[in-house]
Amino acid sequence: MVWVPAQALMTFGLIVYATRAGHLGGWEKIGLFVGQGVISGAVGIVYAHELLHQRDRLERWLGDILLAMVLWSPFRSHHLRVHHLHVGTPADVVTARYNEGFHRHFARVLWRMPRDAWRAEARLLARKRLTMRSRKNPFWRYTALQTGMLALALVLGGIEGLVFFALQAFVAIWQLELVNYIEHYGLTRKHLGEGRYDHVQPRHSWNAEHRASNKLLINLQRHSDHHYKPDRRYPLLQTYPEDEAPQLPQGYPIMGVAALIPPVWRRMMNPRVRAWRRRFYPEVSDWGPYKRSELPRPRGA
Amino acid sequence: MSTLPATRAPLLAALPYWVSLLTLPLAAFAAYMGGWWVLLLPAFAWLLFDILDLVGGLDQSNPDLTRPMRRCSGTGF
Repeated sequence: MVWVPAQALMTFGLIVYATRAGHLGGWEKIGLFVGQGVISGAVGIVYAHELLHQRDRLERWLGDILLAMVLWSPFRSHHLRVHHLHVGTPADVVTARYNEGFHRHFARVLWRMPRDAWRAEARLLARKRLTMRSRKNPFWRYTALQTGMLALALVLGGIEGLVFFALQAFVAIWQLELVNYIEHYGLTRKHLGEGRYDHVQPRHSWNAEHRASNKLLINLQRHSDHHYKPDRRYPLLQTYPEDEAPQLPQGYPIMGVAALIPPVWRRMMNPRVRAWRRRFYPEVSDWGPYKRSELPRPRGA
Repeated sequence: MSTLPATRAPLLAALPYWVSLLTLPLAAFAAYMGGWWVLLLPAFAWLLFDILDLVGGLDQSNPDLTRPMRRCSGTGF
């Protein structure tokens, strides 16, 4: 509840201040909004994620407001209707493929995530015999909220304010997708044939038990338990022993820096993914189709 | 892995999660000062927590699932 006005105050307060401050040069302003984007992504979207999983209507609305502040509202549809159902399969674009560098992964997510979110909502509405023109289509809400945020930035800071708002939003999305990349890198569910995959289990997420970053990220790094119980409140998320759920060598902040340098990331993570395969799926001998995402899409995706 | 005692005061237990609110005064300070200070926010998220993770180590305790939770976890978020 507190973070939503805090982020709004920070984002729009900086727009008001920076567009009028004579002592800030162009690069200083850019640096300031890049920093704001890092916080909107690393903190704000994590809170949005927590809120959008709750059953309470008000909390879900607050999550929508946070996502609109970074122009990434379709994340909600994709996360609930695609990611949680199809993680570790070719249908989930945010599950990073083995050996794929972050930058390539990010470029793919940028265009595929909103498209997949739209299709998932269209399928859901079609089951209720409704079209995307229906008022129940959440994309109407996403568009209204995002337009409202852009208009506010324009009113408060003019074109310069609008550009800074867009910059912090882009950085926030980049930050979010960096975390998404880490969470499931190379972890694929076993294909059982004819578009069927084994169930989502603790083994399908990377976890980190680092005390400090789990406070900043409200236990997001206890990711296996989040997938097991998506609406479990963050203070209650559980940790699993390593023989059930894979552990990262460091917390997300350090792993995020490593992911930005693909050779370093591969050196750290590829041996771990291969060890994970040997431990959990010793019967799978050919990982090529998993790596290249060539397997059939799961049923219903 | 251990289980945290259910009797621990909820507000006290929630306090560390409020750390993100520190970004508010940091953003104001960075904007006021300008110069290299504008890197304060990325440094907070990336650098400070890298160091704190290295110093603070791991927390493998599991919270008590029988404790009732209120809206937004009762922590204000």
